[in-house]
Amino acid sequence: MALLRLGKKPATSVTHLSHAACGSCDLLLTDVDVPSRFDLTCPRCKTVVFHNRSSSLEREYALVLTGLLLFLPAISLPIINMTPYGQNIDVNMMDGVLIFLDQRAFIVAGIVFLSAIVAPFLNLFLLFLVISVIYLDRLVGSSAGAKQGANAPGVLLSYGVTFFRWYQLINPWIMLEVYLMGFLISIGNLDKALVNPGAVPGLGFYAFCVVMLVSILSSLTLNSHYVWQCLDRRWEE
Amino acid sequence: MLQQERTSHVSALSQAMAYCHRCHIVAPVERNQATQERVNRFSCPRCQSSISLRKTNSMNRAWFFVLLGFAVFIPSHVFPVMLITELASQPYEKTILSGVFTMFNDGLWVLSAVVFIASVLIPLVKLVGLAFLLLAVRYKWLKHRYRLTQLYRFIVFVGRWAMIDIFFAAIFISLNQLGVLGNIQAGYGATFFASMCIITMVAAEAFDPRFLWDHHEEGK
Repeated sequence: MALLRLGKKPATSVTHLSHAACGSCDLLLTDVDVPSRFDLTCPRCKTVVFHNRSSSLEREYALVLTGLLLFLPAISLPIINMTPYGQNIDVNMMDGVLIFLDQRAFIVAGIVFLSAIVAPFLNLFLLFLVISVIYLDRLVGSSAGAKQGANAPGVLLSYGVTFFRWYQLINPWIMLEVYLMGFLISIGNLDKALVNPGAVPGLGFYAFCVVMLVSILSSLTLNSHYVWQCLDRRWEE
Repeated sequence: MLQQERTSHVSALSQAMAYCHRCHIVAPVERNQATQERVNRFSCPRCQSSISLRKTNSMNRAWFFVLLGFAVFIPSHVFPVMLITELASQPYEKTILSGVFTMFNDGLWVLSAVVFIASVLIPLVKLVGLAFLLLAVRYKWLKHRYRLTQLYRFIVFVGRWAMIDIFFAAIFISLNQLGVLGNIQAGYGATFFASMCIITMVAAEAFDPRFLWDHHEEGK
């Protein structure tokens, strides 16, 4: 894909930070060099201040697209199929929300909906938007380089800034792995409740697992410093 | 792991700098045009999100949510999470703790341990831990700052796992909804419990761990 090849070579070299501060103890660090694949740890409280991860936007894009493609299957296909007493039962992730709505437990329904469906989706979708904006900007920038005075790239990137801010805001509210744990516990409880060994995970379960892995991997491998640098280009116009 | 060799304890605040939690830069603190005094809150030059020198009204907000969390913790374990109507027996109610006991008696020790840790221990550790951190800042019990910071990090890390029980209920109730076993209704306990999870997470967000280190330079 031509669009993807526009990406620069990943910057995996030493990163120099003129200033860095620890988010949890406010220690100011000046003039630090962080080699690639190293973390800068606060010498005082041992919080990680900065990761110098290899920064491949292509990899993030691939992960995020996988997650988005499988998101709808993950919430709409059954995560478990059972046939107790010859009766077919399957449950998908949305049922977990709808059941609480049916029973008028609106607060619980809202919290489950937000933390298990909306937050993971927004997490993937916002990252998708941010990376798309960076790619689009490179595309527009390289073609508008000849014509001077094109203001579009800066505008695009300032949307990217907003999206990336929201992305960082949502991060602590994603609870997919917690959901998986809750799911396993309810399966464990079923053995006795339904006298039925024939419970099998459905397609939705596999899709859900992939979405979960992709969401964890993308947030583990994302080099936010590099993304901010890409977004900073809006001032260079 | 890379650590800076220098052992200077200079905070960003003392150098009129502030850390942006969104885009991780260190920005110079803006000054009021008229009075030349430092402002407590300004927008980040890089990402336009608002930077506070210390989280605004952090102590009051954190105390409010911690106390609210304690207040909601009690009903969340007193009221039933599920109301179960089985075909063969009388309808009965299940609180979180009675659910843990039934699981334990059925031999599901690992599961009962997971549910007990996630829905009783974690919320308690979060609430008591945050209350302790707040008291520590208030009364300057800051001799072991590093341990307190670790405690705070643990509280933030462990926060989401309290939701296990709610997700468990969501799937368990919908699996039993189709009338094979009878019927399960979500009880008030579920509402209290889910709210408690969110409240404790908000409380942890409201607390600013930088208060633990603020007088470090003077103290040493």
